[in-house]
Amino acid sequence: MEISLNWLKQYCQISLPSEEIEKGLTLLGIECTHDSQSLNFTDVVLGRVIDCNPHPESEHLSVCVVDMGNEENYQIVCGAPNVKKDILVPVAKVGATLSDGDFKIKKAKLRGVESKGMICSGKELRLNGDHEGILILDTQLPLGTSIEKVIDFNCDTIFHLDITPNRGDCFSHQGVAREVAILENVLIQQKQLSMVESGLGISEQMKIDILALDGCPRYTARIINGVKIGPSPEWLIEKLTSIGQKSINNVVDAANYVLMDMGHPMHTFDLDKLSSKHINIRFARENEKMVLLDEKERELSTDHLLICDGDLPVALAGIMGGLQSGITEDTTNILIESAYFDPIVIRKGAKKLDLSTDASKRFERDTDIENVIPAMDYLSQLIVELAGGHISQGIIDVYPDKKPQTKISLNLDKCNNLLGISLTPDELIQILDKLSISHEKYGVNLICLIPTYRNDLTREVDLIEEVARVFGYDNIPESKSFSGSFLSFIPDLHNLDGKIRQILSSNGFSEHYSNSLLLEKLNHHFSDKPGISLLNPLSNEMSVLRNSILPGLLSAVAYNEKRQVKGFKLFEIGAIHEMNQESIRLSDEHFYLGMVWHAHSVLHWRKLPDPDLFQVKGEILKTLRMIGLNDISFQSDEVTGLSKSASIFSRDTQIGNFGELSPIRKKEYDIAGQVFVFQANVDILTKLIAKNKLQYEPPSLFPAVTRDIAILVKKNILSEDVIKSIFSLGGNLLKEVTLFDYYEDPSFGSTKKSLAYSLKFQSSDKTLKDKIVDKLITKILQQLKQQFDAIQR
Amino acid sequence: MTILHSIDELKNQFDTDVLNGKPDKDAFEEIKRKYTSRKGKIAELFAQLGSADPDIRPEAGKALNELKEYITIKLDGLSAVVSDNTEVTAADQLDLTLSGDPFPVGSIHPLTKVIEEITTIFTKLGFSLAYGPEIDTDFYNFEALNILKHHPARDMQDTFYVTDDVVLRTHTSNNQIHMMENHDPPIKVIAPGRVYRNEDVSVRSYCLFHQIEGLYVDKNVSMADLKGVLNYFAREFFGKNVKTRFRPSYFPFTEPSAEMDVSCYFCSQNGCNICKYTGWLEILGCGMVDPEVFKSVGYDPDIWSGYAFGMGIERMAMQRYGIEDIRMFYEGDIRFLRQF
Ligand SMILES: [Zn+2]
Repeated sequence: MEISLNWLKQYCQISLPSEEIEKGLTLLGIECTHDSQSLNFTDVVLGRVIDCNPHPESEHLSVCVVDMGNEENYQIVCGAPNVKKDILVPVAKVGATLSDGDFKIKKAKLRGVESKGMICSGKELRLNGDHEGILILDTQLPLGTSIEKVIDFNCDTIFHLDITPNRGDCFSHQGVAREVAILENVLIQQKQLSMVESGLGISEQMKIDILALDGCPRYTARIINGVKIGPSPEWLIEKLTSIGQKSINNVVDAANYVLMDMGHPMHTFDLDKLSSKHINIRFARENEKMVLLDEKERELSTDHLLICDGDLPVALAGIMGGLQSGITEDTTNILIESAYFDPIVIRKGAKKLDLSTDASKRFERDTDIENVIPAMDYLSQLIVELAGGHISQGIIDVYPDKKPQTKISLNLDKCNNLLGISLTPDELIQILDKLSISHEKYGVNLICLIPTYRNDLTREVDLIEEVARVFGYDNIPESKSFSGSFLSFIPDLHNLDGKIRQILSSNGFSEHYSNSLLLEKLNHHFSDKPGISLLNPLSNEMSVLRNSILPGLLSAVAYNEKRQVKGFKLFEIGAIHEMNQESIRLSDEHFYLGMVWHAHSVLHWRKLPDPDLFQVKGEILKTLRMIGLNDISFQSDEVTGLSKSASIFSRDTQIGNFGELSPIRKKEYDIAGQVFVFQANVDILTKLIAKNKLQYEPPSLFPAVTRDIAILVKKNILSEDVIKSIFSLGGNLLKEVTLFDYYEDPSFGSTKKSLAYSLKFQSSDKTLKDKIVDKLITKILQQLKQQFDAIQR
Repeated sequence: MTILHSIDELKNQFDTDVLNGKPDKDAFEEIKRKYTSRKGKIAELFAQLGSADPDIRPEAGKALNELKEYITIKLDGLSAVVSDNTEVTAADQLDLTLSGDPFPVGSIHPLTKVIEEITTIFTKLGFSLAYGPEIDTDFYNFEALNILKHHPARDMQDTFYVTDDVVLRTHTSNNQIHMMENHDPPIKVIAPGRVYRNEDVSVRSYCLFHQIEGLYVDKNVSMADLKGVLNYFAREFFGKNVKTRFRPSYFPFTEPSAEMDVSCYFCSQNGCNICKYTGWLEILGCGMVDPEVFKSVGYDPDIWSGYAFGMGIERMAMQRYGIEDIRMFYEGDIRFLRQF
């Protein structure tokens, strides 16, 4: 909302500088910035034309001699018809600027005659619109005085306010003036009206019935006969343009002016177009149609409130007038509507049509039901002033259930306790007085009578906020101590995230945050669980919530690859969502950890091995161990979107999977390089770790015995199964089994492979004898032969 | 010349050889060979010992053993110096300016960093940490927070809808309701999380961002307590010289409501682009929990009072690190991420 300082001055005396008003309003809860208009010129002074002769070469020009108070007099060529000898004028000296610095006065020759300066018009000094002639002044001030000291340019300041939705009362100059009055410690002046009624009584010309009292608790009207529509006067145009409003014609501008001034939206009808002379206010019928002032036809629903001429809709109440009944150049008789509409009804109606107008914005934020008549009277007076005509006798005021004024009981102790301050009763009363809240003592409480424009104050706590606002939030002290109850502690969740982030970032992974809103297609890439779609997405590209952590990471891989970044690792921890019709939220939320490796051989003099799935596997295992999971196993598995993939288990619980991104997916994400991925459900990890109780085992005091075995088995035999088998026989003594060699060779035949394991045996209570170990090895080899057809090499 | 003489002479000879400065490796080996090898001078004298005068033989034997020990110790000492020399020589050959094996540095996301910094400050004050759902019902995101349907306050947040009744949360304030529903007062908790707004993506705004919500409910909590805690936070986060300013604002779920500004640390309040020449940076919204919110979770507003606050992480991270384009947070650009 734009507010003009000069306009505010109609309501109260303002002595504070604009900076202070800006700061003061902001600290009263109305965020504010301001622009001060300044003079558009420099170096214009008072001069006297001491001589004036026709230009030898031009009929339209005069050659003047101007005295500007110093020794020298200046010759200035002037084109104004009203220039003559012995007048006082504003003179722009050589070196002066006009038009905010765009135009600089220089020594010049006009049609061969030298000119040192320029005599200015009112328009050139942005004083008025007069460009026909120069400005002729009347003053006793000495020649050479700066012109801004001669003329009051009355530069305005425009405040730009950001008004919170609860403060509908501030959507006008009157409303803002009430706040400024708090800063200035004055009360605002009420308007003095001098309206004259004459002629026919209004009730002989119009009948009004409210058929929808819940939508329209009060409807009032006046009639003005014999107006003449025309342009608005200069002052009105200027006032409206100063706050960014366009001028249309005198009647429309008057209504707009009163809206900006007093905040109550009113509507003006062309009375002659209301043929039935009977206004009915009713809700629209389903699919009823009407054409509004913007010339568009709207289809309405039963949520919309209508002003009807008989039964014919002529205005969409509180939102926009109808085209048919609006003011035109030919209008001579006007009906002014000033009504109070229910905020919810107006909001619903405007939302449904996706239409927001100056009127609907104010009705939605609630208006002052007692302001309807003062506003209408002021508008009537203004229209007659601007457009002539006369106001019919009387008003129509349909207001069957008068709204009682809000009363709130305020307890000083409660106020002090909530704010942590110690106001005295007198100080409290001073604050209430500033807010124009009248009060009377009732026991220990004050019964406060709330002004009708403050619909937002309904409860004691609202009033306490008002007190705090005027008292000043900055004046509330700050507690220096802090006490709390042990009961206030709530178990922390997701402690794990921080740990994972530390581990991964220490191991070359960069953390990524991806957009969790995705193209629908991507939700089929790594999960077959249905995702969550939005009813009102921003775009097709962001129409669903991710059901997998991977698409965002892979998009980042593609992004970096396109920027020639290669061989990097990313991870993300975040929520994914799966549809669940049973849940009130229609969804299940899980936290996931995703890791991606963009594999690229490292250019290095040591010829380091290329990253591959086994390096990745090792890295995953290390990470899981670091967070406290020990019993990890891998099982080859088919995973959506991956080729060469395995599921990962902790004991019997699947925690996630890993593998290489499939060629199809690579193509879809437009990735060229080799990519490995890992994903795990962090919720599951958290639960497993909570269960995992660490138990210390003292290191053995006795030496370990190591034996190596090498076997030849069919290629389809899994190493993991072989190790399990070895452990099953090794008993307590077998501590470690390490695959230290894997070998395929044509000499084994195409179906066989060689596996070599190193087995470490150790006892906790004695030195192992070779004999015992040899026995175990023999048993193990026998079993491997039986189970896997393994041949010892 | 008796053998005793020879022993003395050999000692002098050895001392001379050894005293000749710090021997290099080859010279050292030469000296070692000369005196201690099987055919060295010591061995030679031991051989002569048999044919020596029996009267002086015990004395000579003792002297020779002493000399052997003397030489051994001297040579041992020297070998340490010489082998140091050897190492220096070897190092000259090994070029340690060659690059070491690459262990690329990872990074923690700037948003995580800011979230952790903030949560650490509040956990020091005894706030617990909790999370709430990103998809929530109208009740938790709006209604229970006193943001009623058909109220203009709904316009403050552009909402993504899953159905008419299920939304992507527009703020972490839904956690307030979940916390109070699931726990009896007193409560002292902060809840970080991701929130969504149906706003066009631009340099300054994104369709999602992150917030941290704080809630404290107890008996006799006042606005002075709120100011105390948030001022402490501001001093911890922005430095002890920071100034704060509280000004009235409007949130349907707090009353009184406030906005906290901190003094612009870019321009020391002289006015700059970042603070839009106001000298202040808007940091968080806060206020005393509205009685309607207490009622919606079944707390008695006559017994309990409390405060709540919420702050946007992106804005703080942008200010802290001088990031101008909010979209950088979500691109995953390695060149961006590795700077953190
Ligand atoms: Zn600044």
